[in-house]
Amino acid sequence: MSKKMIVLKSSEGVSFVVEEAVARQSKIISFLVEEFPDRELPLTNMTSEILRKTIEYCKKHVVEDDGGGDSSSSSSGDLKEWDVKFVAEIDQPRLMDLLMAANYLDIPSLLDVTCQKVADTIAACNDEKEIRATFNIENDFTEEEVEAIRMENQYPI
Amino acid sequence: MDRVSDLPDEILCHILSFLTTKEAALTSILAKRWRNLLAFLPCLTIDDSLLLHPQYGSQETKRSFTDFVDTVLFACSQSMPVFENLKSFAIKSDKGCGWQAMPALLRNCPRLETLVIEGLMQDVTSMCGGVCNCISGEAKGLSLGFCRVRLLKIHRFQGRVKEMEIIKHFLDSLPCLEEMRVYVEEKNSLTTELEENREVSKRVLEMFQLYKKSSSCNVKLMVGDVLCI
Repeated sequence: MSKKMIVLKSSEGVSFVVEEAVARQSKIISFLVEEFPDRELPLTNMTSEILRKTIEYCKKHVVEDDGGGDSSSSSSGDLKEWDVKFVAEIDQPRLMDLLMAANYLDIPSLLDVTCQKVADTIAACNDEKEIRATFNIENDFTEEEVEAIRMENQYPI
Repeated sequence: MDRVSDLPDEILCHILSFLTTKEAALTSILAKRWRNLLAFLPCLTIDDSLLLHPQYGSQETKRSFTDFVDTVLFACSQSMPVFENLKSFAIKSDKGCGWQAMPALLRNCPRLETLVIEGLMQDVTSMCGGVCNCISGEAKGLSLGFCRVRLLKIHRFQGRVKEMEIIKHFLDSLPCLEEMRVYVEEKNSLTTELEENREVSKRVLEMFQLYKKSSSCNVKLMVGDVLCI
C-alpha cells in the first residue's frame, strides 16, 4: 500500500515530496493538509537547505503506527543521541534558521532541541564577554549603566 | 541586530529556561534587549551548591547565596520589580545559608503557585523575615501570610524535630496551601534518622497523621514515588 505523500515547496521553488505522516509533525502543516488537501504547500520563508534539514529531523522522529515493514522505531535513548549529533553538525547561522523554522512550523520537539543547543552554547561561556563574542551581540549599555548594574548585583536589597 | 537578539521574547525565554538561573541571570548584562527577560521566565531554579562551599564556611560565602537571589530579583528591578509570570519556584537550601532572601522572593512572586524547597535544615535563622519558625510574636509567619502558594514540595526531608516544626509552621501560616508533599531523603551516605531509628520514624508518621487531620491542606509523606501517608 502506498503512503500518502504531500509536496512542500521551499523559497527557491524547489519541491520536496514527503510522506504525510512525516510532515504532520508540524502542527501548521497538519492543519494546512486538512484545509487544503492535494495542494502543494509553499513555505516561502524557508530555504531548501533548512527545509531539507527539517524534513530530515521529522523523518527520524516520525512514529510509524501502521506497524509495516521498514518502520525504524528508534529507542528514545538512540533518538536523543541522534538529536545531539544532528544539532552539533549545524553551524550557528543555520541553527538560528532551523530554530525559526521549528517555531514557524510549530514542531515543539525540534524547537526544544535547537533552543537547548543555544542554551548549551551560552552555558559553555565563561562570562558575558564570551557570550557576546560567540553570538555577535553588541553591548549597547553605557559604561555608567554597566557600572550601575554591577553595583546592584553587588549590594543586596 | 544579531540573530539571537532578534529572536522573539518567548523563544529567548524558552532558551533561558534551559539554563540554571545563575547562567540566565548573566545574560541580563549582555545588552538592553536581554535586560528584563529574566522577569518573564515561568520557572526559576536556584542551586546554591554552585556558590556555597560549606567547607570554607566564611561569612562571605554564607552570604553569597542570598546575595545572588537578591541579584536575580534586582536584575529586573528597574522596569519590572515583580516576577509577574512566575508560577513555580525551586530553591535548594543548605545548612550554612539562611533564608534572608525568602521574604523578598515570596513578596515579588504574586502569582506563585508551586514552591519547591530542597532541604529544610538551615542554621542561620536569625534573618528569615518570618519565613521559618524562629521568630516569635506578631512577626511570625508574617511574610508567609501574603503568599498564595498552593502546592509546597519539600525534598530531602530527614525526619528531624526542627524540620517538623518548620512544616507545622508552613501549614499554619500559608493561607492558600492546598497540598504539601514531603519527600524523605534517599540514598544518603549519612543514614537519616528515619532509617536508623524506628522510634523516630514512628513518631514522624504519627505527627504527619496528626497534621493531616488538623489541617485543611492535603499532607503527603513520600519515599521516592511511594506514598507513606
